[in-house]
Amino acid sequence: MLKKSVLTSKSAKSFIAKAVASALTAVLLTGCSGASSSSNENEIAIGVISPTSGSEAYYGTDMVQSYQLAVDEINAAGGVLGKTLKLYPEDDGCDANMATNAASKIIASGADFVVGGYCSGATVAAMPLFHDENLLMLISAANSTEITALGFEQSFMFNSPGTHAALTLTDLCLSLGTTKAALIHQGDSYTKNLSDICEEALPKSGIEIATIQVMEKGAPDVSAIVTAVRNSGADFVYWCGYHADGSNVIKQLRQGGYEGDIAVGDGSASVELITACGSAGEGVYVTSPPFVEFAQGGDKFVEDYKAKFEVNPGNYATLCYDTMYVLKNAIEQANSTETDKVRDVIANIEYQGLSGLIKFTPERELEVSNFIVLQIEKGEFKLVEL
Amino acid sequence: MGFENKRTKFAVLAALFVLAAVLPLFLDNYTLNVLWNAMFYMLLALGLNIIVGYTGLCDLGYAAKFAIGAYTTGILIKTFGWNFWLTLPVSALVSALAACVIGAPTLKLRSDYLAIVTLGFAEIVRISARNLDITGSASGINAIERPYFFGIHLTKISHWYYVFFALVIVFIIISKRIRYSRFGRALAFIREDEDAAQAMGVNTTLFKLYAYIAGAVLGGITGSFYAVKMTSISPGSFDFTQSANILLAVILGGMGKIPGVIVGAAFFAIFPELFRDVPFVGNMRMLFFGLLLIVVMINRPQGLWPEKPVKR
Repeated sequence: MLKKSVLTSKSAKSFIAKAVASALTAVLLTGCSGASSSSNENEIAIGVISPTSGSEAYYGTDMVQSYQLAVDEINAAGGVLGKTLKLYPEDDGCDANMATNAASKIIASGADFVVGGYCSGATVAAMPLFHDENLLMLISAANSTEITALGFEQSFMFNSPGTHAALTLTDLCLSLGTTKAALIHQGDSYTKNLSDICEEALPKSGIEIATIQVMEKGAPDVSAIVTAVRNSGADFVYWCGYHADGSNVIKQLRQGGYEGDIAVGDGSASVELITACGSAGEGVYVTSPPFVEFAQGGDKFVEDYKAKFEVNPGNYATLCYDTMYVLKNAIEQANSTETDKVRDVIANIEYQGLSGLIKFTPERELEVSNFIVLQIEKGEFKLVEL
Repeated sequence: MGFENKRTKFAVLAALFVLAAVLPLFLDNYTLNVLWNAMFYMLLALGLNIIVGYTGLCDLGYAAKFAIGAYTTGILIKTFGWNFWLTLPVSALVSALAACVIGAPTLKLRSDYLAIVTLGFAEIVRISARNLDITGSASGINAIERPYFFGIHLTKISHWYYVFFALVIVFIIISKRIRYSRFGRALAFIREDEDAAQAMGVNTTLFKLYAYIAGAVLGGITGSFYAVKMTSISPGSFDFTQSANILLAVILGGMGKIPGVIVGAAFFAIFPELFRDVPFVGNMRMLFFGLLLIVVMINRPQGLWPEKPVKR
């Protein structure tokens, strides 16, 4: 008897009809939007994959804007090989599943090249899809070593990997006379990776690792970590995580009576950290990606960026801007938009950009570190010469 | 009386089947990936439905079951070089064992306590995965090789569309078989009135454990397929949000009702994507999604397509 009640009632049937109709509508809607953005012959289509929604939206949006600035400049100067560049930005939401959706969308829109990549987890999820289509992917911000570990020939990492951050951090520690350092990460791919690298690198220069702590994203109370850091006798704390939680950690460390040096990694290198920390932030060091204010020729970039988007450029703005110019130069040098030819040019390119020298190792990682050290002084970042 | 209705039902199902089977011929990769995502959530929702919908247990840690399957397959392929298809039974077994370990001592508890235990278990699984070397710690397992199926290398999204389509059908059949078996009726009894069920001689703890295992095995199998489709898995994919998402799909669709659960999962996966291209609104799509959820829950507290109460 039970069996019959499943799908037989009238209301259930009408519901099936409605469900089918709504499913069809959904399919049609998504289908149409996918087909509408096909590229034409006078255009070089560049897919951008970055998180423009969710917790990392600030960076994702900054990336899209930086690419846009470069693209507009290039197009105004006559384009590339007589063609104009056009961006197709897609949101990966810093999430693996959404990243595969975004990647398929970019592929479906007929992109010739792909730039972007902020969150390592999302980037790694999207990479195989581009790899299968033999699309060149220039990764501007994400810098986890697992990206190059995939060994995809068509992917280049434009940001210094964590190993470079550890070198810069070691230099900083040595100049400060640090003896025992505490590392705090957030347990996700990027921050754990950075912490692991530092754990390995610092003892090589005679700096002891006092403790390694994990702070869950968004945890309001970090007193357990503060106590552990104080008990460990560390005279240096390196926060490997993101700025959203970083300010909380710094404030509670200071409130908890910790008096040693504090440094934060590139995930926290944001002016928002200064605002959120307030007075507790004074004196905090940052191992930072190439902040545009401290780059040669950066003033014009900042001016143009502000004029166009009415906000200040973010941390990865110069990297993204440089990425686009490297791509442009490579296409011109290869005199082609074919993936393999452009890839070979980029593999041997030497480009002096706003973010520093862009030159790749055979593993398609940056050869020279682009990290700089900043310090918060009177509510502003100041460059520290080591 | 049943004949005509049965015929209508058959016709609708056949039409749906044919539609779903030919769709890849007309759609681009993006749409297929969205549909794949929808089917992926359908599988998870169907698995969780056995625990939440059929038995009325509150499970806030379903992502753990699916993580166990994904990691089992990932580790066996990457570290031990196994063939993907051989990892499936192992994955099912490991999921079942994990469900026993967590279920046996805790299923005596009533639902709200169980919710906390499952939540805790999910966190244990995720944090272990993040810190163990064999699970690749925070980076997870990358570059998992994609399997062959009778000589076809499953690399294209259309391949995965069909694989998951077949899985959805298998899961529906399993769900239906469970629902209308003696086992399923016992589960419904437990859900409706656990004390009465016990008084009537139903071994409630044992049946709850079976249901828990069944749900975990389905989740584990889904996780295995997820691992090879994505080729990379990391602890971030199995956090509490994921568990909440799956539970949401089940509750939104209608607990215990297979078509309801499927509609819920599809809605959940497709809705946010519909807004991807809408300017301004695009970045606020989750806000709209949240509002819509509230509206649905106020107007249809039993879900979009709930199960009819059994006539007495």
